[in-house]
Amino acid sequence: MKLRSLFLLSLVPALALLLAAARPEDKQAVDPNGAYKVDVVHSSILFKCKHADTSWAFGRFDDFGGTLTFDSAKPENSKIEITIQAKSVNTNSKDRDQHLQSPDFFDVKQFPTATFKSKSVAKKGDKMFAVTGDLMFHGVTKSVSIDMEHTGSNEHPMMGKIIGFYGTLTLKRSDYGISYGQDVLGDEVTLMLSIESAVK
Amino acid sequence: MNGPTALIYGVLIPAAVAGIVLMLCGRGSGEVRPARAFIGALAFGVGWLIAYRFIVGMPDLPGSTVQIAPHAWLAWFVLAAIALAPLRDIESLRRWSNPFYAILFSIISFRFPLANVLENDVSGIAIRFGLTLVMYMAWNASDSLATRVRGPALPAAWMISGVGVALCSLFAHVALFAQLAGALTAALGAAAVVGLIDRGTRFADGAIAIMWLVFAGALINAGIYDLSRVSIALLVVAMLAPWVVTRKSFAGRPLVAAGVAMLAAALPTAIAVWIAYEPTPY
Repeated sequence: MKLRSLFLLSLVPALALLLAAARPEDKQAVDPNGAYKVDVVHSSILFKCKHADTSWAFGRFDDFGGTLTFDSAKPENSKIEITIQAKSVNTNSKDRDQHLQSPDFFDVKQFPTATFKSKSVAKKGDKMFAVTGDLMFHGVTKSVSIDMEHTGSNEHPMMGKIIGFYGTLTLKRSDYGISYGQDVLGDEVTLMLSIESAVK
Repeated sequence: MNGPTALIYGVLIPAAVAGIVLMLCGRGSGEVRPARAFIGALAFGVGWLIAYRFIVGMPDLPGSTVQIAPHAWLAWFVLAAIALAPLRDIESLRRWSNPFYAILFSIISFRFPLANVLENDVSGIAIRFGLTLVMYMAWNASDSLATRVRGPALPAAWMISGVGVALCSLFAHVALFAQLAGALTAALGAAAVVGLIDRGTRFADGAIAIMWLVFAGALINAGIYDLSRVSIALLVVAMLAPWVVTRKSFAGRPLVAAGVAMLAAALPTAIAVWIAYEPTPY
C-alpha cells in the first residue's frame, strides 16, 4: 500500500511538469499563419447602444460563424468572413429580444443574417490591422473599416492551433434602415468582436 | 419620436390632411358629382406618407446594395396607389385600372413581405395566390360598399377596424406597423367627421385601395411574427362588416347606419384584439 501511495504521489510533480510545459508563455513561437474556422464557444459578438440617453444597453449574438485566413508576413493576403444569425440576438430579456427581431428593428424573417466580408487587410501597428470590408445588415450593404488587434496565438492541447482578434466598430443603425425608436434607443451602435478561431 | 411628436405626426397630421382635403375637395361628392378617387387617394395617401416620413424616415430605393424593408415597400405602394387613382376617375379607363390594383396586391403577396418567409413550393404559391385573391376581393367589396353607403358609416366602421389592426400589430411586437396603421386610422376618423358634416358624401375609392394596402401590409407583417391567423381573419371580417347597413331600412338614416356599422365592426375587432392581447411590454 505504501509503495502504491508513493508511486501516485510521484505522479503529481510529473503532471505539474507536463502542465508547465503547456504554459502560454512558452507558445510565443506558435506560427499564427494559416486558415481558421471561428470557434463560437470562445468568441463573442457584443453590441451596445445608449438607452434613453442615459445608460449603455448591452446585447450579444449567440449564433454566428465564419472563417479567417491570417498571413502575418503579407497581411493583404489575410481575410475574414463572419455570418451572424440575426435571430440569435440576446439582451437578457425575452420580450426585448422578440421586439428586436421584429420589423421595428432587425426584421429577422426578412433579413435572417448579417455578414461581414473583408476586402482588404493592412497592418497598422505591432499587432493592429485595419480590416476593410462589406458589412451587410438588415438588407443594406456598406463598406466599413474595423481596427482589429491580434490578441494572441496558441497551441491548444485539444483544439490545435488557435488565434484571437479583437476589434470594435461604431455604426449608425439608421444607415442600415433601422430608424425606429431613436428617442429611446440611440442611433449609434458599437459592435465588439472578440474572435477566437481554431485551425481548420 | 417622443409621445407628443408621435401624436402630432402619427395622428394629427394624417387626420388634418385627410380632413382638409376632403372638406375642401370631396364634400358633396355623392350627390353633385361622382366620388373622386384621386381626391380620396390624396386625402389619405399624402397624410400617411408624411406620417411615414416622420415615423420611419425617407423610404429607401431598392438597389444593388440595398434590399429594402417591407415598410419601405409599403410607402412606395401607397405612392403608386395615389398615381393610379386618376384612372378610376376616367370612366373609360376605370375598368382597366383593376389589373393594376391586382398587380399591387399580388406584389404584396408574392414579393413583399413573404418572399423570404414562404417556400416557392406548391403550398407557398397557393397561399400567395389566395392572399392576392382575398385582398383583391376585399378591395372590390369595399369599393362596392362605398357606392351603396353614404355619410359617416363606412369611415367610422373602418376606423374601429383600424384601431384593431393597430392594436393587434402592437401586441404582435410590430410597433412600427402599428403606428403606420394608426396614422391611416386617424385619417379614417377625419373622414368620418366629414361624413357627419356632409351626410351625402360617398367614400372615395382611391382611399379604399390605400386603406387595404396599409392594413394588409400591417396584418401580413404582424402575421409573419406573432399575430394569430384568427385575429387576422376577424379583422378582415370587421372591415367587411358594414355590409349590414346596405339594407334598405338604413337608407336616409346615416347616423343610425353609422352606429350599426360601428357596432358590427366593433364585435369582431374586439375579439381579434382580445386574442392578440399581450400584457407584458418590457
